[in-house]
Amino acid sequence: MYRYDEFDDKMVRERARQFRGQVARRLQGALSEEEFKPLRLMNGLYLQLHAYMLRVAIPYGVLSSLQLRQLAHIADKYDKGYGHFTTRQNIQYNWIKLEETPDILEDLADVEMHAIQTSGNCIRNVTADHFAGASADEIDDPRPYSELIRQWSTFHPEFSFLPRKFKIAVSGSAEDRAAIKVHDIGIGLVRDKQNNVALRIIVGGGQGRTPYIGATLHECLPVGDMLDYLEAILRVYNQWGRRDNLFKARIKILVAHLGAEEMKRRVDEEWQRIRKTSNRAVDVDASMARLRGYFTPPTWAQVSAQDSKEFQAQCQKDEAFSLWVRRNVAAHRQKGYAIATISLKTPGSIAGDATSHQMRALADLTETYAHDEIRVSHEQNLVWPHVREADLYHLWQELVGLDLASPNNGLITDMICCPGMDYCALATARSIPLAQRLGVRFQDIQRQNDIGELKIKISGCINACGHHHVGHIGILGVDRRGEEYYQISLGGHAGDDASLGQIVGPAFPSDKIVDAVETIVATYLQKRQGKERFLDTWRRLGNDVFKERLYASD
Amino acid sequence: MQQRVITASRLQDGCVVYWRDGAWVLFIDEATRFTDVKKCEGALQQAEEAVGRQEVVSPYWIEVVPIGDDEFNGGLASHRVTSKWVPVRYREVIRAFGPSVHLHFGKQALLRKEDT
Repeated sequence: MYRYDEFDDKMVRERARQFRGQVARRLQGALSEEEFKPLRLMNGLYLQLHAYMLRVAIPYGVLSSLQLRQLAHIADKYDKGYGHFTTRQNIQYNWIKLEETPDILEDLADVEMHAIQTSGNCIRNVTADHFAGASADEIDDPRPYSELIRQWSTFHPEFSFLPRKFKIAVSGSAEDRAAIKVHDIGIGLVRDKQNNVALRIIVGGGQGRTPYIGATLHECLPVGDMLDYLEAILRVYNQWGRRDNLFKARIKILVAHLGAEEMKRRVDEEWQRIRKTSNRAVDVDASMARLRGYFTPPTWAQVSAQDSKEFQAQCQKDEAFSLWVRRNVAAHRQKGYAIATISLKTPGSIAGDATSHQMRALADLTETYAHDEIRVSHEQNLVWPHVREADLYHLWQELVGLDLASPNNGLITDMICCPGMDYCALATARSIPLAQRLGVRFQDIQRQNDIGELKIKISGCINACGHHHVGHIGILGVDRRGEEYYQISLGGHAGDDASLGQIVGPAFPSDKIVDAVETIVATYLQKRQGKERFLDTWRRLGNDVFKERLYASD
Repeated sequence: MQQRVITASRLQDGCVVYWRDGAWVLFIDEATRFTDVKKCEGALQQAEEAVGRQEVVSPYWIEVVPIGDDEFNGGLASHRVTSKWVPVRYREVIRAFGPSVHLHFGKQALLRKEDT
């Protein structure tokens, strides 16, 4: 893992001290709310429906056991004993007091954490593949790239007041697990003709009220040019992005307006100008070499043939364990090791929520069994990237005791769900209760496995924090004359073959929406051919057959 | 009959508060209710002065209706609280009582109607 150097440490501590002064001046009246709001947002502090909400950055989703324990401590001391992991690989606390926030920032600084770049019109916390450094299909580890972008972008003076927020995601594998096509910039690691690692740069993707799949601006950028190229993109955006209309200020609108070709021409022109200057800010190759040192693989334990036999025997002996292994355990590049997904989607629970007790218990297990590393996925689950297969049975038993062992990774109850109107000041409808009802309706694991891969994503408003545009079944909560209604879109997908969902028809009232999803699932099961996943069937048939069934009685 | 109350978020902790005769109270039943729009606008002006005194953020008025026991079991089943007045908009119901998914958090924890 990356460890702070003296500059990082000084930076986050000074930031906490600076914010303490700003809070004091606000409480004394020296700063108005209008003056203070941008300052608190720069420290991830929002005013929500019931209290302040603090969003803490978890850069590219990587946590140590020490950091996870500190998050549990913050949940207990300053909140109500739980935290909410988000689709940006962050954690949010929902019951924060303004006057205590500087203390929280100091507690975070003690474990090399902060709330910088979690709000405001800056380059936000960089996200990455949660299987980084572990997956068998990885071209290169995205973490050093993400860390370099973090260091380059933090407090970058030119990019601290962009037209709008700016999100970057990095994927290191052939399979895109970081949703890079729906980010302002998505970076995919690829191989060039000489088999060197290079960068595929995708720009102008995004969700919100106007969703777009990003356009590829560069198929194979040399790694050494990464920051110059990102700087060129951001400079073009900063210059030409709209500042007169909040809803048209994201880079996706600029790319759509200019067209990908013209955007690329402008970026290339700016890139060449940067390359000609003698004061290029960072030697990327040297920095990458330095940063790679922080992300070396752990020292693998010796794995014996007996270990492997025992693991196979446990799978055969215990059907529930076997089921969990099949769904929640992925292939690791190291023989005898595995990647384990810890579901925060126990049917009926709140997606992404973890109690302080669960966090502490997971921290202990992480320290003992997982090389002291745990990840947050953008799908609101946790991941142990490096665990011995021989330890999986014990870890699974511990997870069962913590109510974190649902074998539903990628299944219908593994939903992404934003906080919705139960907490969020922007929301127009609740999303959590709907996810809970769907979780209960589809909780039978045999049935879930029969349905197969199916991703439901729920947002409580058009801002799409719940990624509904890329849900196989996307659900958007809307307010219709004071009543909660839910609009369904089908066929969205966030992977390599990303697609945006298509609205299927008029929205459903709250008491009809679960049945509507049931109808969609039943239609799929009836129409699927062979081993088609839901998405395959939808891509073959389109919306019509589903629409017909959904609105048959109207 | 719809009436109005004035609400805001307390500066120190973001807690939802309601205007009552020049001060702020925690519970919606304790708030001053206005039937006269002009009186409400006048009170809102006073409430906005509390912003300058670092008491609250963003005061505004909302509509509330009385609610009887019969209605209670339907309209507010999600919160299971005892309250004589409830906001018209569900967003304000959630602000008044707490998140519908954590019934032990927010003001509803203090206003809990025991399950019968």
